Amino acid sequence: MLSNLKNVFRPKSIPQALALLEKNSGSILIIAGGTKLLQTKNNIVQELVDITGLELNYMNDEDGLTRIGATTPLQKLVESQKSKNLANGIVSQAAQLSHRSKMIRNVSTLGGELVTTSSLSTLYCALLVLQAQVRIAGGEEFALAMNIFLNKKNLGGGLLVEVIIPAMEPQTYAALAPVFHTGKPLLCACVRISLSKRKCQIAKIAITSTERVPQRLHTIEEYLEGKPFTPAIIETAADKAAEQFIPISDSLASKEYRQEVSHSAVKKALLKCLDHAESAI
Amino acid sequence: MKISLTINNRKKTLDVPANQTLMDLLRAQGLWSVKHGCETGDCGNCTVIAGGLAVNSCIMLAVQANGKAITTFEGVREKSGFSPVKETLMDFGDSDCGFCIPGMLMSMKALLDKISDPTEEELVDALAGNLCRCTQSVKPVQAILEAIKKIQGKW
Ligand code: FES
Ligand code: FES
Repeated sequence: MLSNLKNVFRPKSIPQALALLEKNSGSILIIAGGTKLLQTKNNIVQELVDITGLELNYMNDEDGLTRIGATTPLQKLVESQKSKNLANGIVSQAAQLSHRSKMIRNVSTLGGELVTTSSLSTLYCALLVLQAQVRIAGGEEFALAMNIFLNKKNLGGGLLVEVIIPAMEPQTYAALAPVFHTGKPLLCACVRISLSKRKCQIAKIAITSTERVPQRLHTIEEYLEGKPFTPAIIETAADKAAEQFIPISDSLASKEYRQEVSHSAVKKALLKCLDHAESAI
Repeated sequence: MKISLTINNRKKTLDVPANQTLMDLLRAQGLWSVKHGCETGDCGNCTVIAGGLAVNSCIMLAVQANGKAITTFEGVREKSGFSPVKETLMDFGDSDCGFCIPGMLMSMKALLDKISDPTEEELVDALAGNLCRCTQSVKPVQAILEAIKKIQGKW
């Protein structure tokens, strides 16, 4: 229950929404799906700006870029053919893994998921390896690379309006591999590999687990780049994952266990990319 | 705040407090099938259909339902096609207390409204947010799968 909530504004344009946020700073928040806010029982917020009327529920292709509006529901990302076709479907799969409950995915939005996630975000991780950007409206409109956005504490009164995913190079394959423990996701590895003449040209690998910000595994990326993309090389890369990935222990699993399973997650994701590559021949 | 919505095919204009949840609004209208469980979106006992989608009404504000068509279990129980579902649930002896059943059936209805012949995987996914404390959800899911076969798209 939001016990002190007095008013919900429904702006019809982005400038209107920004003006409301500026005028009422302090106890005002943005709401789209609102599932996270209502779960937390916030007693401070007095006013909400509902941005679902801003027509930010879309997924478009434009000049090779994929643009996804901030209020696009997660379930739309799961189901839409566009998202299933994008990057071997990792955005769709990541959206599905975001919440076990379809009822929550029906209402939760992409923007809400990115702004409020505190740990294990498969969507963040997938968008990170796809080198997505987020577009923020407010003052000067600007775009931020996903890794910079991830490290920002707040948007300084701005509004996340869309996520932009760049076109993938030819022969680029992506995959994610989650690891579950008693039905709950423990960690998830996301990879994107670009090949040329069966050699790895570009590798982007990240694991999301206990932290809000997924860990990029730069050492493995450097190890893979320039090498033939074979099961033997993948095995060595996965060994390195367990060394480079530094999680924390929590009530679900110890740090050591997470490190151990990171090996199989990275290996599985890389092998899926190899499968995609072989079936594309 | 003034909102206009349709509840079980009846148009309504209501004055609601900004912080009232859709679950509280519906229960205040006497729609007791909307069960008050966890209030955190974890159990699915409060599931209703809003704008064609199954939602947790406990984590949605009533003002967010403005302009939407809301369906609760009261709105479907008299529908033809429901009897075989009810019989199958009874045959399977699927429920103890029955608290979870209206929410599960609303998730099932939202799925069947879109896909008349869902796969087991689609049904399990649709019901993943509906928890049954008594039976661990195994029996209700089996019963609903069986019921879907019986009604064969006549829902
Ligand atoms: S009461 Fe709404 S999900 Fe539990
Ligand atoms: S039968 Fe009791 S909660 Fe499901």
